[in-house]
Amino acid sequence: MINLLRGEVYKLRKSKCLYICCIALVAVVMLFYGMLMLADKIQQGELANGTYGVVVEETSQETMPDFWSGQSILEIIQMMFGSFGSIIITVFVAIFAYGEYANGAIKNIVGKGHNRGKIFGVKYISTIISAILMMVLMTVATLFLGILFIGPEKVSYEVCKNLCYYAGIQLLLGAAFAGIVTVISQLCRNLGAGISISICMLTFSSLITAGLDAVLYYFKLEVKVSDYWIVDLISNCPSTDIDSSFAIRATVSAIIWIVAALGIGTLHFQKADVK
Amino acid sequence: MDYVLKTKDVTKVYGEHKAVHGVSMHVKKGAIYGFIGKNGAGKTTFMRMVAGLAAPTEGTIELFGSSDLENQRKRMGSLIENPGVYANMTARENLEVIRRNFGITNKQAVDDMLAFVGLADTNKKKVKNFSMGMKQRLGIAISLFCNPDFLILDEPINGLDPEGIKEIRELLLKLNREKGITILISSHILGELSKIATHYGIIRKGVLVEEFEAAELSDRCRRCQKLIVDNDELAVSILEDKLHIDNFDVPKQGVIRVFDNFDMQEQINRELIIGGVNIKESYLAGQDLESYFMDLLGGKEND
Repeated sequence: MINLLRGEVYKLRKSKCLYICCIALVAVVMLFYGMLMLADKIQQGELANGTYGVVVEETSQETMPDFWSGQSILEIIQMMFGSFGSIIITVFVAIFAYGEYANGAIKNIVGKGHNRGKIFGVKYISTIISAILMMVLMTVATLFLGILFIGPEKVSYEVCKNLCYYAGIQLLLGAAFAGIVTVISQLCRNLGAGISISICMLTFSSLITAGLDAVLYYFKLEVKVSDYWIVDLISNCPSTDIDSSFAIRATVSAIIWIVAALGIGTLHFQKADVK
Repeated sequence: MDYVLKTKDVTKVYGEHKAVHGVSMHVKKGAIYGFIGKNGAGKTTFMRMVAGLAAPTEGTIELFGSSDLENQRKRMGSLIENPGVYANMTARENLEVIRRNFGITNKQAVDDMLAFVGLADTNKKKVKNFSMGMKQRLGIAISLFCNPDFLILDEPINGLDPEGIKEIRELLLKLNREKGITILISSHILGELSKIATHYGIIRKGVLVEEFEAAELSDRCRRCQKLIVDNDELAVSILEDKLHIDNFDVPKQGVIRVFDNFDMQEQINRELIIGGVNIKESYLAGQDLESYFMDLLGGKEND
């Protein structure tokens, strides 16, 4: 198993897709800050409202003396996890997981008598680890650029503490999400389908869980599906004042989803014909 | 008998379709076993089952005399359908992945293998820019990487030019003779296969029709006068008693093959008719390997 893991690490190191997705993640973070910078210039009257499509609308009665002082690094990180970041990570995981099937390289390992459970397990672990690394990169990039743009005074002890809690939970939830995408890619064995289904899951699954919640509510059941579904947990995770009940629920749900996805993937891979 | 591969009644069913039906194959140690069949006959499906890429619906497989296939497959290399290579990596990087996957500590093994298959000078060229022959050679290098005792090659010379075919042929002969590797190989290029195979297995519509040795094949393709008669017992007695011919055989009822004595064709026909034998057909036969295989594969019947 260690040898298989070494092979996976080597493939990751040589994977162009990993580097491209990492660059894309940092670029998205930079673009986001760039957009905020534009908004700042618009608010200060240096640029006309609507420049490059950026429109600033004041929703509160009192005007902020400084645009940047109204921004929170934690909220920006939250936005990254909830949207752009997850999409890029989904694309990477789908490509990396499908890669073995795309070129038939999986035959080289399976045909050599390696245990199929171990083969899938190693792939699963390596995709989860690489997804976690990408999320860490995204968090660090957002934090670092936040310090540059918003100022170091915004990174107080309280912010750091909240960030540690928030990032910890998001990494765990992200790992579970990466695991589910890995299994979807393996079940589909088609890059287009794998990416599409995973992104649809990311985008629309909250609608389905909301519907299921309504059905459960109709039957007077207290339980909510959205409380345990990874995508909902990722987007609903508060960036400040995380209460212990949410933290426990998110942690337990993430672990269950990680184990369940591993189990389903392993079962399928044990039985599947390799082409 | 020392068999590297022995299967019993191996069957693979996809839905209603039986891709492989009751195949019992015997591959002797040190043999180059030519596995012949038309497209869709079940060759690849069978090889995939032996390599562990697909599970048989029924039947048993023994490798190196053992049913512990997971362990025995470590002694096996396979190249089935396309070579499984990472297109965005170089040949060296592809082999490096394999080296790490199998925990081979000797880093020199990668260079040695590249040199062995003639890819040492590919340097930083990505596999996606390789020719078909280079990809096939890399596929063979991957299958050979852990010094296998048994090699399964599915159409390894497909798409190669004559020079490439010759190179692969010589490589396989070298592996078989110098390293004693047993090879199970399928190919459509029957003439090419006949240059290296020591044993043959013919598969037709998922059924292994026949297994025989190469020496037997030349006997089967021997030039002869073929007679199809209504009474072979009477015909045989006429051949022996009246014409004093003993160099013939009766491969199946109603069919007589007379070897040599080709200048006596008319006399043989005449004597048989006079003797009361009804001759349905009489012609000079003697096939090249290709025609013989085509007959076994079902000729035009399957086209």
